[in-house]
Amino acid sequence: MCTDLKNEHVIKKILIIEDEPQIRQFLRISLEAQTYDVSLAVTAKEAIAFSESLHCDLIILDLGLPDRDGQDVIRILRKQTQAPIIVLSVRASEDEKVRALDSGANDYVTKPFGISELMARVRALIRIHDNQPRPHAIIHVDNLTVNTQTREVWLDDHSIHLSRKEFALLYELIATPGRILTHQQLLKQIWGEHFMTETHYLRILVGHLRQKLNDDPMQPKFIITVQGVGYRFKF
Amino acid sequence: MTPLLTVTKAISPIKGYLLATLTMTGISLVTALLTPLFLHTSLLMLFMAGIVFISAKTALGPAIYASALSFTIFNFFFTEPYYTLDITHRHDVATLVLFIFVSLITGNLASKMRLAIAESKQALERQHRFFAFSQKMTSAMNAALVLDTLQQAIQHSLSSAFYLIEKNQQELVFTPSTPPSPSISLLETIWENPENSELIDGEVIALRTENKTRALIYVPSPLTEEQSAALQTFSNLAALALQRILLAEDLEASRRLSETEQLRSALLSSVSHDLRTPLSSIIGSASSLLEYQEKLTADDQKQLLLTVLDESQRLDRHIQNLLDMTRFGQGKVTLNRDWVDIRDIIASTLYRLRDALDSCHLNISVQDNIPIIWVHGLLIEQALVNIIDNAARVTPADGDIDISVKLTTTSLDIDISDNGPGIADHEKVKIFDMFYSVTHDDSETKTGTGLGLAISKGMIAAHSGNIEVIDNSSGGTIMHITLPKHPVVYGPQE
Repeated sequence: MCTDLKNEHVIKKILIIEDEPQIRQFLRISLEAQTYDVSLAVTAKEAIAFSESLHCDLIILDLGLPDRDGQDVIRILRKQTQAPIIVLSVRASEDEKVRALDSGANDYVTKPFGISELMARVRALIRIHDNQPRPHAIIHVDNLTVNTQTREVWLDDHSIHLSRKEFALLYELIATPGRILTHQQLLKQIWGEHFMTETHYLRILVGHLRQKLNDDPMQPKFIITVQGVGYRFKF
Repeated sequence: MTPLLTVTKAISPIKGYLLATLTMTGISLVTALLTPLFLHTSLLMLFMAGIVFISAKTALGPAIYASALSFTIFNFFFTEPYYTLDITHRHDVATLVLFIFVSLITGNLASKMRLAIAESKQALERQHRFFAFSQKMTSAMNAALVLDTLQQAIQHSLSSAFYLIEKNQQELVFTPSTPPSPSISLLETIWENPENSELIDGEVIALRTENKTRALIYVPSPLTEEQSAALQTFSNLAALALQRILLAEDLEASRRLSETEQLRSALLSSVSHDLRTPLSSIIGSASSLLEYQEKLTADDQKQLLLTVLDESQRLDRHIQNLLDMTRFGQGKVTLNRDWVDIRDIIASTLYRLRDALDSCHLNISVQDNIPIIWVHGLLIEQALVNIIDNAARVTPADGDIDISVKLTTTSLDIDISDNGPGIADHEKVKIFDMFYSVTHDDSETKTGTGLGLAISKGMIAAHSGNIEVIDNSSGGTIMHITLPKHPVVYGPQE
């Protein structure tokens, strides 16, 4: 995928909000090693004060802060900044992750995590953020080509016919590769407010789209399932 | 249903007298019509029949009244001189005296018989009630049900108001909830010591087991002896049932306690062994690195760091297993069902196990057009992770692991086959027990905590599915999982 060369050289500012000193430390060391400019906040209060003044490009937020509920923090941050938010949360709380994403977080990483997993998310989100809003243009991913204006889709050189809803789904996903879209977000976008609980519509639509894109759900090239949460386009 | 303990009076007295008057008037009319045809002394028999009928239907009073009425009517209308109460013929006097005498005796007999029949009917009904009640008591599964049944039985048997009193956290709880007029402290005293029940107006019966009051029945209005006896019988039966339930609960509690004890000791040994082993490697590798960093080759340093990472991940898996298991042990798992594509679940399972599966050949076959299933995706994923992780652990390097998904008429079947050493028949059931770990002769095989399969079984069972072990014809085992199918409702796609 082509990235804007100009952006590659601007040093990105990342705000880390985490109360555990060890995690703060390894995040800072690793992110600085990747030439990001890192700021640290220990409490939600500090973070809210920071995010306005800092104009950061990305926020990494631990959901389990001592002074405030993580979901509240996301909502407050979202009012102050459009910077992508990556949430750090412990395993076995899928509901919490979905709620965080629905409140405005852009992705999550489950603790404990390896640094490469986090770095991949950071890179993807910064890239999406830089390119937004995506110009109406032709998108190439692997052998897939999508013309977002004429709604034409090609796999290699073969034109593929997608139904209106299949194209809407593909467009939602491919517009922000790497970003998770929750079931609710997709259902609302494609079917509307009243269908937000009808996840089986979405499952079936994804199945059809994958079939047409020749995408093996077992080894997906394009659409990745995030179990219990939603889907993301491969980045 | 008629109340059991009120004496069933056939007809109310006023109605009895009315019936007597009506009957006698009717008979008089008939007698008047028949007078030209029969002797008036024979017609007296009609009146006799009427008196027997009244006696059988009503009480003694109306019967005597009917006799007197008959006598007067007969005397007035049918004996000479007519339309006076005088009697001309002597034999008429004798007939009438005899008539009064006989009618009084038959009347009395008939009414006694009626009472006896009513009583035996009542007794039979009462026995039926007691029998039904005692049957309910013996089958009642818990104390609440016993008290509920008792309350219903008393309600049916007693026309007067009553209270069922229980104790909840040192407070008396009344059913119905408005407390009765006598002071609660008086009832408290009776609760503690039922001999004091004379202190209160009305009747109090205590349900006691093992010298402890479990409930009180309080009837404010006075009861007949019969009612009080019935109340006592019901209460005794209920107290017996409570005693039985208490005993059963005690047994269950002690069984659970010993199970918990076993689990706790197994958990402790698991924590001390399975958590400490990876921790030792982590501490050892990290401290070596810190102490001797300059003296170590870059390759060795990398090896030590890899050990730290691998062992930490192993630790994480153990902890996850322990958490899952305690959740299942406490029955606190709520299924968060959603429509899920089984292929998605397999994909994320394999992604999570990508390192463990590195040295195996993986063959996956999923039947076409597998419908989406209605499950808690993460739980099914965890179940598969544990099973496939096991398969990977027992399969030798370059061995095969096959995963196949098929549809039957009622279920979705997932088979996971490995080429490991297999599982002996006597161990096939045990492997799903908590902390049971198959020990193999070759100590090379890494054994797990004995939690993985127990957790998988729990997670599949929570979905009304099942796992069983089958021998693999080409060596090793097949884990055969069945999940129930759910009809999919197709929605608007366009």
